Amino acid sequence: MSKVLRYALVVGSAIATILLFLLASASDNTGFLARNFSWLVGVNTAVALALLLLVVVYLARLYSRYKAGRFGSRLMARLVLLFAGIGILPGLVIFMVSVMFVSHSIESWFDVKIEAALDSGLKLGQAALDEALSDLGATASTTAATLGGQGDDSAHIVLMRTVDEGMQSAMLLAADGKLLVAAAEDRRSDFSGDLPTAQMLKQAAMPGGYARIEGGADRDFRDNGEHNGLDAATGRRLRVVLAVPEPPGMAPRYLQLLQSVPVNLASNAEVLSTAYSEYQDRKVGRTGLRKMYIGTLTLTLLLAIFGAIGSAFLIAGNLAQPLLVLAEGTRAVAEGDLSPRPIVETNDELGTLTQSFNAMTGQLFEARSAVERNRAALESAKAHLESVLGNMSAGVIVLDAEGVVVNSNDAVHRILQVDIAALAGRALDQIEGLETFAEAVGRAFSAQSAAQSAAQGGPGGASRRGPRRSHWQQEIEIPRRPGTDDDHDITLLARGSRLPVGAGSGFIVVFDDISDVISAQRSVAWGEVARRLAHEIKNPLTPIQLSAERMQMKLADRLDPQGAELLKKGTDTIVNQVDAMKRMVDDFRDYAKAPPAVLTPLDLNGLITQILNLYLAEDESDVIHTALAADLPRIMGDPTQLRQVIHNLLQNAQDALADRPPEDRAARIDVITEAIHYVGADGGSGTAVRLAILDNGPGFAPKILSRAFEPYVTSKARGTGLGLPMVKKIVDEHGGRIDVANRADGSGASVSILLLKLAPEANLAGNLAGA
Amino acid sequence: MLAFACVTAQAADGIDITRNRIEASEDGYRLDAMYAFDLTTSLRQALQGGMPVYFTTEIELTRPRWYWYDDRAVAARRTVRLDYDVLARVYHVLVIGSVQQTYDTLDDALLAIRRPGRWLIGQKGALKPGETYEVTLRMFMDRDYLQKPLQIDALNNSDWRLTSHKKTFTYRAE
Repeated sequence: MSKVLRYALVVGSAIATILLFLLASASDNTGFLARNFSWLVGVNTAVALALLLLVVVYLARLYSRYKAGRFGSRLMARLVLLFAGIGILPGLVIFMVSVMFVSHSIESWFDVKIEAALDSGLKLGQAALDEALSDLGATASTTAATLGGQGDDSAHIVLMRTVDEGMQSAMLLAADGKLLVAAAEDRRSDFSGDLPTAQMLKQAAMPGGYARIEGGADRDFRDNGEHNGLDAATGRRLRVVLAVPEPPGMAPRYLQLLQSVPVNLASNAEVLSTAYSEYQDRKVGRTGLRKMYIGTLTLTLLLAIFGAIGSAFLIAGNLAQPLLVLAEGTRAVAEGDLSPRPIVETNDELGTLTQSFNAMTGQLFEARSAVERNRAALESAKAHLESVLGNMSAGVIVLDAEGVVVNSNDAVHRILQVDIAALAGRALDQIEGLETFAEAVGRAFSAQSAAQSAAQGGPGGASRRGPRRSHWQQEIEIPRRPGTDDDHDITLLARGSRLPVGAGSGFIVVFDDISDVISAQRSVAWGEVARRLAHEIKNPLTPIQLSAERMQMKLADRLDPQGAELLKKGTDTIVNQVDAMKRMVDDFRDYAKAPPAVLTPLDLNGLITQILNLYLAEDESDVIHTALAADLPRIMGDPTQLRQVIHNLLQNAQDALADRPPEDRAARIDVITEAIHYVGADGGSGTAVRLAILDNGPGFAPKILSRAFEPYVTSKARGTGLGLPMVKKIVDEHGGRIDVANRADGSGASVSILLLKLAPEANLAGNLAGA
Repeated sequence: MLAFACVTAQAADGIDITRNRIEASEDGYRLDAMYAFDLTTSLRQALQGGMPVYFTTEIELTRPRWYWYDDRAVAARRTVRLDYDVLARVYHVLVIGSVQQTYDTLDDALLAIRRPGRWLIGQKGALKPGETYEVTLRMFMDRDYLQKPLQIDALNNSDWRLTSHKKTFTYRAE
């Protein structure tokens, strides 16, 4: 829109300039332009109107923008006013002066004196011609008087004499205009063109006769050709026609005299008359001339003004645009938009300014994106760190120099059973349930500090600088929190170090629950003890048994019946106890060195069904219920060992149910197998088989639960405490996992075995096809 | 004289066509027309200052044709020049392309213009006998011959305007 207007303005101005030039040229009184003057005026007016329209449109737009408070309109308005003023004012001044000048100068051309002089000159010329005419008239009357009554021959002589006096021609004519006698300066001349008309003759008959100045320049001829007084004068002549005073009875005759006006007089008079006519023309035309000049000037002024305003718009627009771009840019930057602005294509300071502005916003943008990148990197690093911390199995507690908890991870909650995250900001030793832990940690840090100070051999102050041993490590045993039903202690391996936190120093404590490790160590130790004990004990057992049997055999006959009875009792007791001891020792040996498992593909469900045949009576009294998954994959297992596992677990469950009070609800054992799908560490999916045996007995005692897989831990009066350890050992050899727990609703125990080694796919597929 | 005054009064700033007739003669068609007008004061003064005044008569004979453009049978234009010889103090009337007439008084000269001779506007075969033609006649002081300043002045000055309305009448060709 604006571009169109702009082009229109430029084109309009160009047209106006050309037209104005034509118009100014047309003011000269000649040629093609003069003839098309009105047309030119019309076109100029039209262009002026078009420019006016354009300017009005521009002004209206500017005004509406100004009213709307559009950004930049004030600057634009000021610039437009300025430039328009600069353009218009000189134009107005020149116009005023020109109008005054034209009006006055045109009036000054017409002077009363000049007019009077021309008038007088004309009258002089007229008088001179009149004089010549009256002279000719007098000559004619004299000649006519002489001619009266004379015949043609004598008349010819008279005429000849008259012609000699300077006439062009002299003729004697009849009343009907017929030539009677003629005489001429040039004897060969033809008189027919000079004959008087009937009207002339009619007038000649009147008293006074006909006397007339004839000829003169033809106006058309004078207009078209170069004007020359001499040429014009050649046509000027005087004609007098008179009636000849005839004696009565004779037919009336007429005398015509033609005389050329003297060239001198004629040409001067002609110049004078021409000048007079032209002066009169100019005088008549002066209003038109003034109108023409003033009109042209006014039109010029209008075109100049509109052109000036239009140009003012263009210039102001060009000047204001870079500023507007910059202002727009600053506003955008303030709003956070750092995208580059359009560059103003000029070589001056404004162009440089916009370029600098763009450079500045570019640098800002760079700086801001760098900050953003750093922040994002930091955030992701922090998130990563936090996720590492959060997923660590070890508990991490960060303390400041005063022992106040700064940070901790989820593992702390799991291990210590304390919601330490909610307690952040409190001193560690103020937190309920952690007094022992806090005391141990504090002591350890103090001891380390003391050791360091001692090692450096200097006062405590010096130890602040210089290298320190970075950490301490210590096992801490803390009691379970009161209120939980587990009264077993937790063994922690804690590691502490100092670290700078903020301005001061702080402490970091990392600890892990090593109860399981301790348990395993205990288990290994027990195994060793059992093996040695079994070996050491078993050796003397056979001699003891043999000695006892031999004593009975040899002494039975020698003793009295009473004594023999006593002996038999005694030796039987010895033999029985030795047998029992042997069994016990065998158990120990079996536990200590169980044969390695031989893994073969195995249908776990089939094995379970086989075993359960021994337990099931197939009637209402059965307490064992099975829920075996139909599509259970085959596993790799040693059938003998797995059989022992299942036997042990079922035995445990039955033992647990036997202890329960009779008024309780019906005893029940569930045997469940199922396929478990899990996501492996390498991201691939895997399948495992789970075997669970649940009972609704009293469940494990808390103390037993944490150490269930250690040998000689039993709740049973006659158990060896080797059942579950054996199970655990077998499961470990199968590469599986075993978990013992009390059921979530508190009604009984649950043992869950996860077997991860499955039979190869080919076997499975073959098995499926066979089925 | 009284009638003439009335006519001029009616045509205060214009020319009245008081008679318009087309006659068929042996050599062709002639216009027999009379005009009533008087020169304005400005014109009269300019004339007596030596400025020639031109009068142009335009006539057009058309035959309406319902199926095509109108048939423009005759279109003629004649200009008469009136000027004053300031030296000889006589008025010349010149029908351009013809001979010049000289009159002693302005009235005589104007009379020659007001009542021109019959003007041959078309040859014998120019019109189809029996057909009816529409004639448009117009007579005016021709400003094209004025000097340019006067032409400009005439744009808004009625002193320099002397023109008739277009007079239309029908003529049945013989």
